[in-house]
Amino acid sequence: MLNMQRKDALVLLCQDFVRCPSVSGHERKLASFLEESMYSLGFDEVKVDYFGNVLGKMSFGKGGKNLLFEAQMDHVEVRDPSEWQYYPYGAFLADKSIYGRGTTDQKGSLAAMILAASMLKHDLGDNLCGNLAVAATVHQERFEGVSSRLVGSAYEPDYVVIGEASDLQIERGQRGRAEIVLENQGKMAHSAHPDYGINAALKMISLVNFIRENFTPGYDPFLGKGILELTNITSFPRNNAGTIPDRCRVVFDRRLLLGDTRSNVIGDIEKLVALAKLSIPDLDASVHISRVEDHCYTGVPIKGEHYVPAWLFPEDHEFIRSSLRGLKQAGLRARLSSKAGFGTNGCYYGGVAGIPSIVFGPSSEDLAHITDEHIKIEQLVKGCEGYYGIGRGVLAS
Amino acid sequence: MNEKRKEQLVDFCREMIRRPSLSGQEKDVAELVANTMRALGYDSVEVDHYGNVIGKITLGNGGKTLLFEGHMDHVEIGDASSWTVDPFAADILDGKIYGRATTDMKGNLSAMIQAAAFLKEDAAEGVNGELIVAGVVHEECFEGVASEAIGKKYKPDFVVIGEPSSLTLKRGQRGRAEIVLETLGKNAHSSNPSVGLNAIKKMMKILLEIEDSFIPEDHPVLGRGILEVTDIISSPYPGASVVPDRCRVTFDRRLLVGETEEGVLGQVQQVIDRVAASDLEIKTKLYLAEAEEVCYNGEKIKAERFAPGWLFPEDDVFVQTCLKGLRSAGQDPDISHYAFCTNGSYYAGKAGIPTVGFGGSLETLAHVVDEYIEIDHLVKACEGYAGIAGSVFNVE
Repeated sequence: MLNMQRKDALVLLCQDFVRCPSVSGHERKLASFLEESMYSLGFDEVKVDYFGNVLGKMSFGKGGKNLLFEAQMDHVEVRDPSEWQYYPYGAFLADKSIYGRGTTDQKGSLAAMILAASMLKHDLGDNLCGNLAVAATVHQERFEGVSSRLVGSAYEPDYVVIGEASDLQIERGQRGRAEIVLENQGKMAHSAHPDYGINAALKMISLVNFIRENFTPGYDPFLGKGILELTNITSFPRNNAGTIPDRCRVVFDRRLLLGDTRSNVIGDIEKLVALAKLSIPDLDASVHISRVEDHCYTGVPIKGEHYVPAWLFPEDHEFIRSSLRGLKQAGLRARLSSKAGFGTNGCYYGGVAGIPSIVFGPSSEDLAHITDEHIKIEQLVKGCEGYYGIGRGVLAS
Repeated sequence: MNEKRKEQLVDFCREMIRRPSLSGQEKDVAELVANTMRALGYDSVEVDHYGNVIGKITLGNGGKTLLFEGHMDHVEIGDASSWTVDPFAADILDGKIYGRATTDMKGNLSAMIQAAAFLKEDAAEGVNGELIVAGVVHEECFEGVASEAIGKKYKPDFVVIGEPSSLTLKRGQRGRAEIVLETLGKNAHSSNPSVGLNAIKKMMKILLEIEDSFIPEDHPVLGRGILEVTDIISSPYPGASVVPDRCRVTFDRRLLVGETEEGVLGQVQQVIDRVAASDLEIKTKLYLAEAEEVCYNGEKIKAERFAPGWLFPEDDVFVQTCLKGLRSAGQDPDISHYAFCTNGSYYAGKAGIPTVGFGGSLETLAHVVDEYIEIDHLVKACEGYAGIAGSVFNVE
């Protein structure tokens, strides 16, 4: 299915994407390059929305499903380029791999998706029905599903394939995530006379300890634990000496299971805080879910809170069965992953919107976000064949 | 003190206030101090490598060396709009000079500088000794560091610290150490924390143990040797979806007399060891905070944050000599101790030189908005310094 010419085209396309740096909020260059590439590869319609997401659509015969392939355009920072063996935006070929920031997360998937869509149209255009869209989204790294929401409402997909690295296995669910912030207020005093004040850091330590002792994470045999993990603690004023801190903030990473809701996730912690107040005097604390705000490269503000619910679809779901069938037909090992997806990319579609979704992508999650990020060309090629197979499996009339 | 001298003192104090001098930016006020000392007839005026200004007056022959010490720097004014006066205009209202550093401590430094000059003018037979007045840099964050250079070079027999004391005689203070404790863990993605080691959790264990089992020593005069958390932060900061591999806490430890660096760190280490005995994952670093700043002349000033406490008995010879001198100036001061840390930590705490504190204005007027000094206090401080010097130099 992928002859030498197509393989070369795939590698070149992925290399071109890597050579357009696109840190979150700065995806403009990649977005306009993608728009042109989609037109020249035969997409019927290409639209850029106000966040700057690029949505290319292929229309097939009447009836059939609306299938969506989604991959992010943005990537995390390079940090110190001198630690990289290869220039991170150079897309160098070595060890049968493409090196560079974004290769695994997720420009490889994006190139594979676009080329797969183009090939499906070319090879099987008349024999398929429905629509296939490829969405290249902005600001995935810092916002959970905010840009996807816009894609979802514009295209209304029946099924979604998320291009996160999954070692070419099909993942059928993910834990959700909430970032819970706990803040307390003390009373400032000279540190030579702490008794005149209330040390917010010490109160917070007692409170967090109380929560730790009394919080029982839920468990799901497939998704795992609904953990509550401390990720940050900071006292204020910063770099303080000479006074006791009057404010302290901790952040928890809470992973969500099916059935967890926004209000019970906060409510659980609020109840523990209320209980803690009975044994910790002068405790003045509040709980909220953290919010983020930024701008898109289009200039449009983007806002969101760090909250997305879990999702999981059954093994025998029609979409999963047709995807597996498609992979097999494409000559790949059709494998359902025994574990949940690593990140939260599918949480908008699968969790919020309830649209049947899977995660499928080339390369391995532990190559994401690292120095000397790369993708194996063999994985890239199989990824493209996989998307081709899933597209054929779902859209076959 | 006659009216002319009072006027001269008030004018000089106001000139000092009009030269802002945050720590590390004391150049203008240092020049004023040096020029004034020369104009007042000091026998020598030197500026050392940190930018400290040291003026010397020799009286008679031989005798003791007495050091009057005051710092030239001051803290920030904070929110300028909350001041009802210009913090650097040195306006006089109701017999008070207003402005940043009036109380802490340009008022008392100006009183020391003038007192020495008056002493020389009035010098009588039988007054023998060397009086050194030092205007010191970088006291606010580095108690006793710039002072060490002065102490080592001029080797005073006695020291008077001019920090505000409400005209009481101070015979000691608690010292201060800044202790840093870090716990070391292992990063992991926070969706899968069990493969990492959360440094905050390890820190919590230690802090809870400190809260449970650390009982500060209580000194009958100076108070408690408290250990208080002033800062906590985890790293990476801000961390997104990462189990933190580091957590750092800073403690303010108030020091009682005779406490050493080893002793103070050892005490915390004992708590850590107790926790570590039942938790093999505990890995820590414990050390004194170290700071480095730049002086106004470009020289670096660097030190570990350890300023020892000190206390002399009420019947100490120098304390009694000072008391006698103050009485001769018509004052009847109580004897007490400072509630904060001063450059005395070097002279008395490290070098063991007999030291007292004496100065006009209330300790509670330091570091506040609308800081002021009463002119009456300023004048009495000046008379008090002259009285102390006279008393020291008259001792056979």
